[in-house]
Amino acid sequence: MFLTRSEYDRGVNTFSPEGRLFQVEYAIEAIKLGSTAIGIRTPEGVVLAVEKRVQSPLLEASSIEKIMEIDGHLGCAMSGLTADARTMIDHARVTAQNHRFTFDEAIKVESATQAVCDLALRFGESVHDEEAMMSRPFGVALLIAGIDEIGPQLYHTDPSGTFTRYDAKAIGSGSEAAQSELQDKWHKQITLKEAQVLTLRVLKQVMEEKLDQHNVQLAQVTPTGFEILDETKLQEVIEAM
Amino acid sequence: MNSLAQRFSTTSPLAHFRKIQRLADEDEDVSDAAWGSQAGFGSLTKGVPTFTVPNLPDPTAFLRLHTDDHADPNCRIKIQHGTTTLAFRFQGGVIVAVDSRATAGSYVASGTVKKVIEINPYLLGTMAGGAADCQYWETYLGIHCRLHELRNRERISVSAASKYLSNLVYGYKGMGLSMGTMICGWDKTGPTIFYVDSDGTRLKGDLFSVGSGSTFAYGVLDQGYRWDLTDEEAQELGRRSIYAAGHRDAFSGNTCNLYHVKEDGWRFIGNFDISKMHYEGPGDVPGAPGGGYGYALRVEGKSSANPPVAEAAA
Amino acid sequence: MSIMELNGGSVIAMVGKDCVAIASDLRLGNQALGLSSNFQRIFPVTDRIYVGLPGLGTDVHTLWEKFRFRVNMYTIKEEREIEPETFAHLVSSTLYEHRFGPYFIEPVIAGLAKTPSGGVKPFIAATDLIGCLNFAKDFVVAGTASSKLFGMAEGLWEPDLEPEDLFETISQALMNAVDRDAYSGWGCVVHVITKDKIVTRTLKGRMD
Repeated sequence: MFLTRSEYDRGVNTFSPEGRLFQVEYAIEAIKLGSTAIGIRTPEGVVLAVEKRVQSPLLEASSIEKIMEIDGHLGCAMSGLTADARTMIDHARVTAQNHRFTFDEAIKVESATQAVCDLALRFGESVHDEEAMMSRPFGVALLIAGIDEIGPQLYHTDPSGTFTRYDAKAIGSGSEAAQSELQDKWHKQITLKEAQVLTLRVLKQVMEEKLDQHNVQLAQVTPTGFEILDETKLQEVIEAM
Repeated sequence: MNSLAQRFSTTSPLAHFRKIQRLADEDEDVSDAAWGSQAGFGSLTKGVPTFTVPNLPDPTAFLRLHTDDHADPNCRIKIQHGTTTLAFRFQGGVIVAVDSRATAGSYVASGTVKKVIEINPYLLGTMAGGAADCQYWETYLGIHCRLHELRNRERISVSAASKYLSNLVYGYKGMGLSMGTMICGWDKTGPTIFYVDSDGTRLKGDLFSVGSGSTFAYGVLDQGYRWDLTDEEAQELGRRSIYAAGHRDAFSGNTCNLYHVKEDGWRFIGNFDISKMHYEGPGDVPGAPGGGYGYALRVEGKSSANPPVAEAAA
Repeated sequence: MSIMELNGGSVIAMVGKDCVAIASDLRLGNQALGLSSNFQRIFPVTDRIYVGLPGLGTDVHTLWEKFRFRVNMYTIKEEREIEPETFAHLVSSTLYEHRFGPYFIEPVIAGLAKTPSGGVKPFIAATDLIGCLNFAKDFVVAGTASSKLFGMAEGLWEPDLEPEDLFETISQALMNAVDRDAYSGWGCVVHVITKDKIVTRTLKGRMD
């Protein structure tokens, strides 16, 4: 029986004759609808910035959480279906804590990223003859920032379970414009302060609303650990733009 | 009759182990580790780690027969019980003091054991009973406290942490776990101590001492305890109580490790040699009276029955 | 609970050059509870013989009084001082009399024997609780810390030690061994027996 493209669309674990997994590709598309998130690696640490879409003046902006802590030395920014990200981040947190429990050391940034990507591939899989627990791929991309013995690192993950290391990366709806801007402005000796300002400048260019301390979130991972910048610190960076 | 009912119950720890056994058998060639992740499937992670258990119809009965249990002193596998640990709550926080001796029978296996487990910067656990049991489960408690912190953006309360531990060990009741611990910390409610043991007991209180030397420690502690103790007085009381136990109890001694928990977390006060405290005192530390704690030293020359040592030798 | 470990305590004896040393700890306990830190379990038999009686506290007294009685009777009847080797056999036969209900003591004997030429010859011996004699050329140990004492003595002892060196060796062996034994300790006493004198020293030990 010949299957039309729309029929290949349905199965998450069926390749199309051209060798594509449509559901995974659609999941990657879903991210392009998400709010923009940017990560920049510097020799001093990694900076993460996200735009928060405050759709209503009645919305409590502080309740939008798009940057989360995985462990003391690991942070994460997300774009896409943020609800899916919670599952992934919880998985990363448990993995990081289990690593500490078993080895009494902090997990490597790459290992934490790998663990998240392992989970991303487990859609449509059944365990012990039970119903599959995850029926579709995750619709979210992550920027995982962290520091380990190799130094500051920035990883990007997507719904296909692929992960790549970047010096600077943008995801979400404004990612194309933002990425080319980052390519222009990033250099090897960029300082943490410069990176903070750069992320906000790039965000400002791609955001529809006017950027202020309520509709962006800025975080960094430095040798002292993960930190989400509070409103006063954020205000300082905005003023430095 | 009871064991028969238990055998077919689905909620007993035995049933839990049967399930683990079954899963372990099936899962042998595809463990979670093989997936490159130890966190299990998504957020539906296993509540507790899994262990291999004796492959018998009734593993609990088997373990009860062969492992240490205070109800049965004649069992085969012996776990060290000699210890003195204490913790008390007062106006200035919590004092935690322990000895450092580990014995295997009459053999002093080590004199430098760390019996205070630093769960996180705000929580301390003490170690009495099985060293491995305490170390493993209190570290395990530590990762769950950290996950609680990450998930809820708030530090776990001492009450919640201790309840987590007591529920956990209750699941292994009858399988030979041996631990008597005090979970100490400072949370929103202030300084707090919970006593948790492997029977599943969990008690909140102001003052506890656990181990073979606890009776000696209680003697000093009860006599000197007041709520309005100053920090220095409290530290001295903890130290002096451990000295008393270390001196009199054959299975306690070597050194005393002293911790003070305050609002901003715990602080390690110091390591004090018990024999040195007997002859010379704890040294130049706040709260110390000056001079040794030893009884013979304090009564020397005070009566004809106690002539000064030098005079007696002459 | 072993009756041999009820009260705790250990004794060691060592041979040196024309000298012997015998030493013991000073603890008397009731299982884990320490009761006394000046319990005597080494006794002078003659000017040149000492006996150490580690084991059950009550039997230390009973047995020492029995030995004292028998040695006094020997001295009166024979009109001479008992020799170390003769005393060792006295100990052995006394203990074997109680073969089926023994005293819970493992004696250690140290002394200087007279030689035909007028010199002295070091002598040490130990027996089990029913009197099996063990003559040694180097050292003997007994008590709750015996296994630890064997280790220390095996490592520290060497032949022909002068009295002061023998004192140092036996003291180090005993002090370090009892620190590894829960039932022994709380101070030590050391006797070094030479031709002309006996030097007795009380050592401060760990009090835990």
